[in-house]
Amino acid sequence: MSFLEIENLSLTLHNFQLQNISLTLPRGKVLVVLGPSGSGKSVLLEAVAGFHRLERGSIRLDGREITFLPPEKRRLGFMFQDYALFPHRTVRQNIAFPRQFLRAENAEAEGEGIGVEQAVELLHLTNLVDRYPANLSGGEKQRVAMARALVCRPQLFLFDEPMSALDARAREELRQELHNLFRELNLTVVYVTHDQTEALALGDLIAVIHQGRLLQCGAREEVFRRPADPFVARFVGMENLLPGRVCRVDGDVVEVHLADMGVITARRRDGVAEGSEVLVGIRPEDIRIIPNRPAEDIPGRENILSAVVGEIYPAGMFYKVGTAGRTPLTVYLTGREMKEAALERGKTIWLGIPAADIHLLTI
Amino acid sequence: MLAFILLPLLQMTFSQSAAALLAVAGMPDVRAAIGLSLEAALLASLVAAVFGVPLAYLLARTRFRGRGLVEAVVDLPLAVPHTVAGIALLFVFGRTGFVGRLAGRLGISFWGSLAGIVIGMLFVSAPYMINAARNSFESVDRRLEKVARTLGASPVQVFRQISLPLAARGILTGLVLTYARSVAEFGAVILLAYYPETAPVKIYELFLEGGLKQSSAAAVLLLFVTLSTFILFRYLAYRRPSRVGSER
Repeated sequence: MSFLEIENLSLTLHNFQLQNISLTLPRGKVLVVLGPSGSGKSVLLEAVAGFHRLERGSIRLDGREITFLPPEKRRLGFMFQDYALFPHRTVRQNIAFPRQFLRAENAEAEGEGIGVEQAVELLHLTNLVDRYPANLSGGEKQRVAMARALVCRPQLFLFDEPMSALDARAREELRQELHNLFRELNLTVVYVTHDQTEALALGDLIAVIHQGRLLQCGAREEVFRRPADPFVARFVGMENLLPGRVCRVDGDVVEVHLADMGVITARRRDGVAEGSEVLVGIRPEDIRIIPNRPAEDIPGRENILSAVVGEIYPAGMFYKVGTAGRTPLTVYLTGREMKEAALERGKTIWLGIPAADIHLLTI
Repeated sequence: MLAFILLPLLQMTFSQSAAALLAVAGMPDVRAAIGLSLEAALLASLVAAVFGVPLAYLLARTRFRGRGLVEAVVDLPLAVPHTVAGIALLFVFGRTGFVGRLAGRLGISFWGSLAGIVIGMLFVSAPYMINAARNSFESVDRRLEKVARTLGASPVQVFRQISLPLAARGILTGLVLTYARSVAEFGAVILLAYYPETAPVKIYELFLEGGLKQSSAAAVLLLFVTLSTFILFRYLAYRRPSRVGSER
């Protein structure tokens, strides 16, 4: 039995539906719910918090059925986008707010829990306690909101796109801070975002939602490297999706014929048989550039393909290199790799793609 | 437009002699009328707040069938001629009216009494209270209320500790408007209670009896008193929340 268990959750809100969502989350783990805007991920989070009535399904937390409890009885810490600090109360008054509602039974059951002063200290807010929220930076607000939620002794933290209003730099800082907090306090967290970078940085588990349906839920590596369908693949940054047909299955190794790139080898996967149509998924960062013609490729280990450099696009910390041709590939390279390979448009290069990094999607 | 508003008031004010003003201010019935106006308006505003604020919160925060209809009803007094409102009120609160009879058994009369004046004022001024408070509640970030719920507050506690303080400014504005509208009310009040006379009624009486001269002096006096209380309330209403406002 998992710590958080969502079973067959369905609800309708205006014209929107969540359909049969089932998720589980062990204690102390972070589940990132990833999806484009309008996918229903925030509605799901609010449903867990108790703001929407379910049509079907149940939510259990630590073995306790909370499906029909009002939000104030669920013992959850909800973190909104800009943290929803009370503007008419100081930092200390914000943090102390939940104190008045703590019931004696809870306090006993949970031991002393965490007091206001403890929360202030834990989140390094000592110098800020007399300020009003309007005079805090984004990071400070986040810490105050965390402290306020911690005083409530929540069993589960819910984050609703906390970074979406911030600039890239602040985002990076806050992400790191959150990462540390989650580990330090051993929190159980459901974190909603549309940003795959955040999902990678924070999630132990990742659930991808689209149009009110859960497409895949699994360990981070699993979802990023072995997406269950083309939508998930594209959404988690598996940018190369090439249609092909399986031409040979030999033990652990599968040969796939690609339209105009010849045959590549990949590791076998369930559901893949000779003759089946597949999508060949390759993450752009898994492709390496080989500047000079190498020796023959080693079947089942690494595929060596020749390609002509197309567009080169500097994308922040790395370069996004496209190959020319009917089925272009996208490759991510660091500045150093770019320099070493002396890449320029029109140059012929060789690409190395490890067979183990090729993911076959059955269609 | 500003001139249109200000010119008549200024013209009237400056055409008064100090002697005439003092003479009117010395008349006990004028003083009593002004006092009664202020008292009744204050009561009407408080009643409007007690019943109007919860209604405003419901209108701002809940979706229910017929909500548009309720909103139209709230605005209705703005469209009803005030003498019509007075007559309509008599049907319910008059001696033979449904509420009037019930109240009569308890010894309360709405006809020719302070209660009647308050009822008349309340009817015409309540929309100001409700609409101002509703707008104010609507401008409170819903997420603040939601987060308060997750922190353990019940809906009533959220209302008292989060929504109400954050909407306080708008509610006070509503209170001031309601008060101002109440002091100024003539039509509905005169039908429910000619006596005891409120200031507008007294001024009308003076106008009928003594013409423009005496009535205008009383009018200026009323203007003076109501404006100063209006300004005082406005000041009280806007002073306090500026602490939060300046930080936004």
